[in-house]
Amino acid sequence: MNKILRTELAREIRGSMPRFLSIMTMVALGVMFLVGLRSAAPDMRYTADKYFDEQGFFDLQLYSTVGFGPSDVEELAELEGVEACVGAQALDGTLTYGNMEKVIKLHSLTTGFNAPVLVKGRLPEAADECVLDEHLLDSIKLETGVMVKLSAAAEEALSFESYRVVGFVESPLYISLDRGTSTLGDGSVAGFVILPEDGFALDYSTVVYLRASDAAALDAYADDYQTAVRNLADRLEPVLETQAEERYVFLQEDGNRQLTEGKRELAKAKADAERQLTDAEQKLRDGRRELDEGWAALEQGKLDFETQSQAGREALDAAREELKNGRTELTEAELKLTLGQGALAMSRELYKTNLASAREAVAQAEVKNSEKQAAWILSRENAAAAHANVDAIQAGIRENMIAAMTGGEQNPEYTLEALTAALANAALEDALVDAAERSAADAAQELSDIKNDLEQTRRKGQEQISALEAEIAAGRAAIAAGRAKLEEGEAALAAGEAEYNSKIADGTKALEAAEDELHAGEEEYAQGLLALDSARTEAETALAEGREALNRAAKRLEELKTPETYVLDRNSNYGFVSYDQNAERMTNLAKVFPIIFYLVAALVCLTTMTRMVEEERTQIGSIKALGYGTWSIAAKFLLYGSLAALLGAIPGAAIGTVVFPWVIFTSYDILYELPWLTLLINWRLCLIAAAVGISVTVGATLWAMFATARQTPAVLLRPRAPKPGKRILLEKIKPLWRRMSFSMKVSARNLFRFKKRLFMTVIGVAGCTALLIAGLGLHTSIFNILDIQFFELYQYDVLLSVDTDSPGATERVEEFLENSAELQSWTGVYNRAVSFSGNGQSVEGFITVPSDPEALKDQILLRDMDSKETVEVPAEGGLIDLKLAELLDLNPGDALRTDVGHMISLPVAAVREHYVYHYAIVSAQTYYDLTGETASPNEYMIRLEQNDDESVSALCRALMRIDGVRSAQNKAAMARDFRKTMESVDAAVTIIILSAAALAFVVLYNLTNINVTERIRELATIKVLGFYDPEVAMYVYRENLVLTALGIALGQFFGKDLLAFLIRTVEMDIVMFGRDPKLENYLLSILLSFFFAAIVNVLMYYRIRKIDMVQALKSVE
Amino acid sequence: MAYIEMKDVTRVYETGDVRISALDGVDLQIEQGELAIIVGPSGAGKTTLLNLLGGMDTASSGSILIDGKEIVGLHGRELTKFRRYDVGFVFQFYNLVGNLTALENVELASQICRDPMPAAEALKKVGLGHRLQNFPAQLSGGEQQRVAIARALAKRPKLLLCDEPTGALDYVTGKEVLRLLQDTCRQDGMTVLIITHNSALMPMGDRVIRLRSGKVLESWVNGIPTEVERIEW
Repeated sequence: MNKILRTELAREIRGSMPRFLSIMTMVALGVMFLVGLRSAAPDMRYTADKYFDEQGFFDLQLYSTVGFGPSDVEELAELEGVEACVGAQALDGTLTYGNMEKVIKLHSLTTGFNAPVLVKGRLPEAADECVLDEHLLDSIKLETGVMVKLSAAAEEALSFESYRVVGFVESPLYISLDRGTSTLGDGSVAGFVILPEDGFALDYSTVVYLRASDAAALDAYADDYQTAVRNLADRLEPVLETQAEERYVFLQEDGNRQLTEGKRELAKAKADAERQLTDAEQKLRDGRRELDEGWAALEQGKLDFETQSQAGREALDAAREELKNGRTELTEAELKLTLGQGALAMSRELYKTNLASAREAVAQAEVKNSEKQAAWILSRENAAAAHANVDAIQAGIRENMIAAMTGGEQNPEYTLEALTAALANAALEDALVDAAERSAADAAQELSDIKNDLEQTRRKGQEQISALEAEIAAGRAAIAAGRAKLEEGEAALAAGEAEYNSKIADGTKALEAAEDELHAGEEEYAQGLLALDSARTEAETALAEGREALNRAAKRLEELKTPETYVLDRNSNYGFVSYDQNAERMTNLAKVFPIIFYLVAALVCLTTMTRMVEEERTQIGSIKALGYGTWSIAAKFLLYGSLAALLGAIPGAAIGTVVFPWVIFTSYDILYELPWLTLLINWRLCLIAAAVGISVTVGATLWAMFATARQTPAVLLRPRAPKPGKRILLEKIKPLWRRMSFSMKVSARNLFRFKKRLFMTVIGVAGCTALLIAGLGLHTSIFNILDIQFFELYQYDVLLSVDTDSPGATERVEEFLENSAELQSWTGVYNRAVSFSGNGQSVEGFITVPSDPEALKDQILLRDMDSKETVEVPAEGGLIDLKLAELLDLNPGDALRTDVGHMISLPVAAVREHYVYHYAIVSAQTYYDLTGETASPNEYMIRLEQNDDESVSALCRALMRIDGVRSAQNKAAMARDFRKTMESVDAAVTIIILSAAALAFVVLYNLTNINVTERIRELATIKVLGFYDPEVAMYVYRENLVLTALGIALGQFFGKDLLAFLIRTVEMDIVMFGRDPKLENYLLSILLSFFFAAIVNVLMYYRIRKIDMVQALKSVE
Repeated sequence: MAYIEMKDVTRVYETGDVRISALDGVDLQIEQGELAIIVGPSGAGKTTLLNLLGGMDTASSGSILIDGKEIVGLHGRELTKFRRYDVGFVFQFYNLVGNLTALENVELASQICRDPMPAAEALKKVGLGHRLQNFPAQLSGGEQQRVAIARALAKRPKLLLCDEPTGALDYVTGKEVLRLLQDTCRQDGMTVLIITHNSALMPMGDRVIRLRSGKVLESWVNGIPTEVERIEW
């Protein structure tokens, strides 16, 4: 290819950027998906393998039912093909901290093998130190430095009862979150604990870890590794069997010897104990007799004492009675005296009053008397004056008469009338004098009477007083005499009482002393009895223990079966295997997705390159005419195509290598404890992917080109006959064709005119829609199941787990629940972790035994997956979840093999809808029939009246305070946690949706672009004819829309299948994703596809508007 | 006033630093119902002139009045509207839509007009009444060009613009097409512009305009246009 052609190529690329870019993008998408999904699994496996190698993970683990002696381990280490091996311990056990008890796996710290990764603290050094599973750090909130109690399922396996926690670790033995199951407790293992070798008291190893020579160099997930390890395992098996045989014989002999010795010792101990006990019993019997006699004597003494004191008490009582009578008499006399004194005082007072009033009367009478005397004197003077007046008048008259006679001067006062009046007055005054005299006499009389009265009163009063005074004096004398007598009597009584009391006190003291003595004797006796009892119990316990030990030894010996040995490779490790399965899922995804993209890329290239060749037909002709060969012409197109493909493949491979494993690993990182991803650049894969991308493009280019390039220049220089118009089938349906609008007819014709384009657009859009449905569907089927599982199936609000080993815990919980008013209902179930197997695989799950099947239905909706009809807890057999049935390929009537410590066979009665974990629900009777054990509740499901978050949390807190409650889980919180673990899936969903969008864009843009370019004359023509821009655009869009619609319709079917495939591929064993197709996803996929199409059409609008009519019409086609 | 009047019309194409003056101050007038022949050698600016008159391109300066309407300065939708209702085009390479029958090609134009001639009638008029249902590929070049004319006529345009209508046709067929155009002009009173490099066609026009290097070299009116049949080239 010469310089001119190269320049031409460069210009061609510049001039057709959208075309170039679309080929690039398609190839990039294809390569990205192929490289990305293909790299994910190897990267995941490499990361794990590296971790396993670094931690010295075992290649083989050996188990023997008889264990391994130190010499056995040494012998194994010497074998050819064994790089290293170590004897170790692996036991089930329990960890107790505070009131929490957890089932755990106990491991010994093995140098160079399965090295734990420190998360916190340090590794154990002393024998009584341990490190814990990092899980336990979260689940029981332990700190380093605390002591935890450990116990192992095997007897006397541990050196100590308590161990100090010195650190927290992750272990390559447990990379999966699942810690497996145990026969202890409720069966679910909370974590592992690692002790130093001397933390165990066993003189043998329970397990031997072994590494094969050169296995570390191999990829542990590759077949050659498996083969190498398997070969070694095959060689080890006979060695192991021989060792076990020898050990079996040794154990048998050793056991028998110990048994014989033990029996002899036991017999001797028994005889000793019996003799000692008999002696002690005799001594005690003697003591008892003495004590009984003492008690009898004491009783008699008490009786005598009582009689004597009774007599003394009676005499004293009589004297007291006498005294009491005397006192009464004295009191009476004193009362009388008091009364007399009262009467005396009263008489005196009366006397004084009477005397005073008598004296008052005398004084009054005297006053009256003197007044009367004075009045009498006055009236007498008045009478005298009156008489004098009379006399004066008479004298006057007389003188008047004289005067009359004499003629003298008469005094007019002296008249007869005046005389008469004076006379009358004098008579009146005389009368008054008489009256006053009488009244004066009366007053004098009265006075003398009153004075007599006074005298009489005085006398009488004095007499009365004297009499009373005499009486009182006599009374006083009598009282004084009585009192003296009484005092004498009292003194006598006091003396008598004192005597009595002292006698009583003496007697009592004597009795008490005797009693105390007896009590002391009793106590001594009781202690003797107790001592005897405990001695007896001790002896019995010791003997029982001895017997027990002997029995155990005998049983061990008896149970010492022909030994069995196991050589297990890494596939026996759950984490190792499940991680591999997850990686495998990615490989499966890698099988489908890239194909879609490569297919579309091929189609896009084919159409694009065909178009390009078409466009350059004349040019090809010209160049050919100039003398260039077919290949140098082809070279341009091939270069164009492969350059686009190469430029797409590089970023595609880069993004695929880095982003895809990163996203996928991030989502799995939640489920596995592994160091961060190591990215591998798989050059071979990248090259293959790029090569596939390039060859698809080149192939398409060749196909598109060669028919043209082979023709003679003459033919090429002639414009190619335009593709003739053709009638289409639709036109034969006349009624329909007639009804179609003109533009519809045009579109219909065009659709069928370019079949390749129709096919491509439909496929491209269908692919896009299918991817959208798959992506959206994956999202909803994951998150819908959360809602269905936690809020539709699980009706309960709180799941309470009870430690059944804590005495009375169940009763306490049930009592609390009975008395809680805010509960709507509750019920107890027995839940036990087991493993189910069948169909060549085994899954972890639970057996659930409801204490009341009807009540369980109130807490969990039991229903059929398809019909949504309620299913009952079967009377016989188990009700299992659909995912379990699918995993183990079970149908009703089949037997579900269940490991409950030993294998049982549980007939499947029915299958129900359930999404998270696996449960087999059986009735209590069924459980008993199968296991011979009675199921008592260890979990409670509780529904509240008010189930808002606050009420539920409050209840949980209250429940946690009850002694023996292991956990009280808020269902809503559980759902939230679960949601969080699932959110990583959204990353994958985003990738899918973005790819779908990219696919839609590339395909639609490319096709519309070709459509427009190819028909540019036609479009120019109709533009010239006067079609407005939107009308011109619609002329093109109508076809696009029909094709898009067809593609979307087809995509619905693809999408459904793709989603089903995707779900099956990414679904984990413990979870069932939703199976119901959600209508809204289909609708949303339709909307989104149309939306992408619309965006492409909008972009195209500008291109259509820019079509240059003049240029287009000039060109010859 | 003339039906078509161009005054000092220029059209300059600029690509980078290069300025090409396709039309350099053109003045011309064409009366209604005239058959105008615009003749000139390659690069004289014939097609540019036609594009400007047909509203496919806009003038850089000057004025173009068609039936009293100024079309210089019209843009986008107005220009499209002008093309839609006022102008009919006939091209050298017919530009029929290959996927549509003759009838449908005509309908393509008539369906967007206000008062179109029925498509079948338009085809009958150009003598193709018997080939309505044929696809372009099934028609001869002359027949295809007649379909193109029918498509232009169906719109009942004010102006029929023909760009080298006989350029791709043989002598006989070319004459037939020219006959059709002359008849259309005479019988329907349609104003027809024919652009050609073939000077032999000059006598058939009512008016002849000669272009050279973007300028009107000369223009005259033929008193008595020659019948098409008598023209030889």
